[in-house]
Amino acid sequence: MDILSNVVNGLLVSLEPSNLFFCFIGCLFGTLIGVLPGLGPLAAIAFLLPITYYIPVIPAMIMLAGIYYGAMYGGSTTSILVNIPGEAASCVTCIDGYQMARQGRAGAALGIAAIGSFAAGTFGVFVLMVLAPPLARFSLRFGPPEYAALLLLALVIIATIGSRDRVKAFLMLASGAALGMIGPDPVSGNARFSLGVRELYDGVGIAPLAIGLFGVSEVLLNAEIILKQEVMKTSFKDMLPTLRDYRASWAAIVRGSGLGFFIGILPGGNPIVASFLSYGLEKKLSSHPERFGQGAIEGVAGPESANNSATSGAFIPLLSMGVPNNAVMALMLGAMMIHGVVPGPQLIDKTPQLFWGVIVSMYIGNIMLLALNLPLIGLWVQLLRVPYRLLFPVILMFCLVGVYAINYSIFEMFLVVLFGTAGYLLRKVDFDMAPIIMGLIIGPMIETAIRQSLMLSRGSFTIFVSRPIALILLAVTILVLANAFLKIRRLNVTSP
Amino acid sequence: MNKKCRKLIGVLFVVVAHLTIGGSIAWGGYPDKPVNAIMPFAPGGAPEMVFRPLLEVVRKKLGQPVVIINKPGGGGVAGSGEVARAKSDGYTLLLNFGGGEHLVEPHMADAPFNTLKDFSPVVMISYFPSGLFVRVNAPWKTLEAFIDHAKKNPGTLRYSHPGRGTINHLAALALEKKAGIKMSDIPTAGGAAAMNMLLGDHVEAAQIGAPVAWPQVEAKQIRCLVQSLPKSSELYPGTPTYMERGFDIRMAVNQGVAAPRNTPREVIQILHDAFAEAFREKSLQDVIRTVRFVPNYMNTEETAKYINEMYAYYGKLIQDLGIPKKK
Repeated sequence: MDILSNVVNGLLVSLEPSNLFFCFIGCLFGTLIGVLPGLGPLAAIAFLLPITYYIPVIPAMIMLAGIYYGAMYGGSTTSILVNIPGEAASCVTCIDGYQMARQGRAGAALGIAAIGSFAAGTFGVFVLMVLAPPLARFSLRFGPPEYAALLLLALVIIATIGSRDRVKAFLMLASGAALGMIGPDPVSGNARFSLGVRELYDGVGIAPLAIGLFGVSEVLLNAEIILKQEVMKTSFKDMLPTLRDYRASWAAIVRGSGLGFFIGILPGGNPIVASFLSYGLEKKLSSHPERFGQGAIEGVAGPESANNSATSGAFIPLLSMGVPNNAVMALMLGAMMIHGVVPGPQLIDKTPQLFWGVIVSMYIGNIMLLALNLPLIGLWVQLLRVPYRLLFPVILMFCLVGVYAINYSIFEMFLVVLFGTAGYLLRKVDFDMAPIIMGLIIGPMIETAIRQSLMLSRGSFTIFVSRPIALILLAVTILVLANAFLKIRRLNVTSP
Repeated sequence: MNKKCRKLIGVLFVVVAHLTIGGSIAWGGYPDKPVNAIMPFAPGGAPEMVFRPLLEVVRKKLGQPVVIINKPGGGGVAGSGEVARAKSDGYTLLLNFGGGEHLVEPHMADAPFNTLKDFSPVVMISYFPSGLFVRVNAPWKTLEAFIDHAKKNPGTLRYSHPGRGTINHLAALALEKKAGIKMSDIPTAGGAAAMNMLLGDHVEAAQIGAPVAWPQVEAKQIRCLVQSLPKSSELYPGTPTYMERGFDIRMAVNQGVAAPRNTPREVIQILHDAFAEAFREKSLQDVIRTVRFVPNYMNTEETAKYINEMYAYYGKLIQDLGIPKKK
């Protein structure tokens, strides 16, 4: 019961040399797959699963966890340096991170991403230690109606992400949701809008869309202009965030950490939604929202903190209830069961070394990642000195190979090219890419939640207001909307 | 001229020799490169908990790695179709053979393969049942009490399941038909999601695979009213089967292995022997039981017979239940 003694126990477990070693391997591997576009933590953990049969369960879990949160660190690197999300949860980091890099502040952006991730990871681990069991129970209360209300609120907050033009942002959001309609109907399972193409029966993947829209289009855009490479050059002095940067981003880091953690513990919650929501929130709260999209450091700090603490949050239902709430956690569950550890509400009592060891190792892992990533910033920035005529083809290759490696699908490679071309054309006419990805993710989620809710209530819409959590979320949504309308009216009054 | 003739005879001799003892010569070296095993689902599915350790042991027996390649799509249909179209050289295998995607789905939609004709069965490893679960604090301690309640309150009991057209959904539909009750179904995105709905008190019951649910049974959060195997198993203690309760429902999610059709018999034999030998290792059986799958070895012929039988069983069941074909 005593948290302090538990933490000390966990510390002893996680400081055992072999556990430290596997923690390091996990973090290193996670960073690498995070940096590479396409390949994400899910695939990496699946590849490494067979190795875990040969090592005891605690180092195995420590390593797999390291891959998951390590990938969140690594993902920001590619986003910031070359405007390609290394990991789907880093899409939104592209917006301001890449702008910072173009202004010669790549080092500061990478630095704040690493520090934000560290702070968020630490926060997540701390909450995990103190609140795991009650939070897990709370998260189960989040059924379809609560989810529908939360997603609606999320949509309202992030509707205008990264765009100066509301209409264009909404158009992109809607296109994303429309793309999300492709695939199996959430109720009947029948394929919709797949045009008889079997590869589309499961819908359009996030990775091909994100990598095509951001990555390939970026390469295409840059190929037609002769870029002056010196804009990217940074002196060592500019490598780390300045005091002003810290002042601008600490609040974003705090909010991103809390928000990410909350999204992380929900069933089906994922780091991508967390990062987008954090970006939207920061833009809403900022006194200079116009700076967003022009290299605002809060736009990097918030989302990067959010996706990191979402990964810690995801462990709560798994470790304290034995319930996996996303595919990565399902793999972890499998890894535990193979070792004869039965995940469930009694896991903490039955195998305290496992629970506390893994949690404290996550804290140590976060320190390792910081130590690993800060010195690497110099190296990554050096990468930008590689002549573009060499760098771009290599990036293009990594984009395609990375997507192929997820499902071994040639079709998805064609999708990357298709979306890349579409992204190139859209960016020519000044559309932002982030909302379309948000639409693709949230569209199907909200559809499923609403339809499941209505099935639960046998068609009655009162289910959305008769459950307290859903009601509160809806009320907040209405407040946010009302506030936005008031703002617009005021603007109309002052500016003729 | 003479030279040419001798050459021709030489070539003919070699060809004939290959034709007569072809099999053993051509396949004597099998396998001389890694074997791809297609798992037609995204990484992380429950059957991988059996296949990943199994293939580690098989690798030692075969002398070549057997690499799991996850090819998700269409609930297992897409990846299976790919194996059906693959070369019959023994270097592409299908895992999870005998799942709903092979036995149920083809009866309800146009599948890119014919379960009975496009695969050469290799071996059957294990299976697990679908179960009907309720929370421990639910008033129904037995299947009879549950059915009784459903009879008195038609349509009010709600159950979550991993998707329409899955074996789990089919089991619930079969119970509804045979017991003469009506429930509301809530399809979710998989077994874990369906279980979360039950744990969170959003539905009254869940019809899901036993391995996913069993940790919660052990933790006394939920209770299994009935399971769908043809016979009871010590892995699911105290749980009756549908057959024992008087309902002719016997369903299992099978973990078999198949190769594309017309794979040479010698290759199938080599593969079967490697899998069978791996299956006999006690440590592997322990792993299978730990994750609550029931070890259920069948050799090549038995597997083929079993698949034929179950394919016909589901075909008839789906017809009896009047489930329309998907578009």
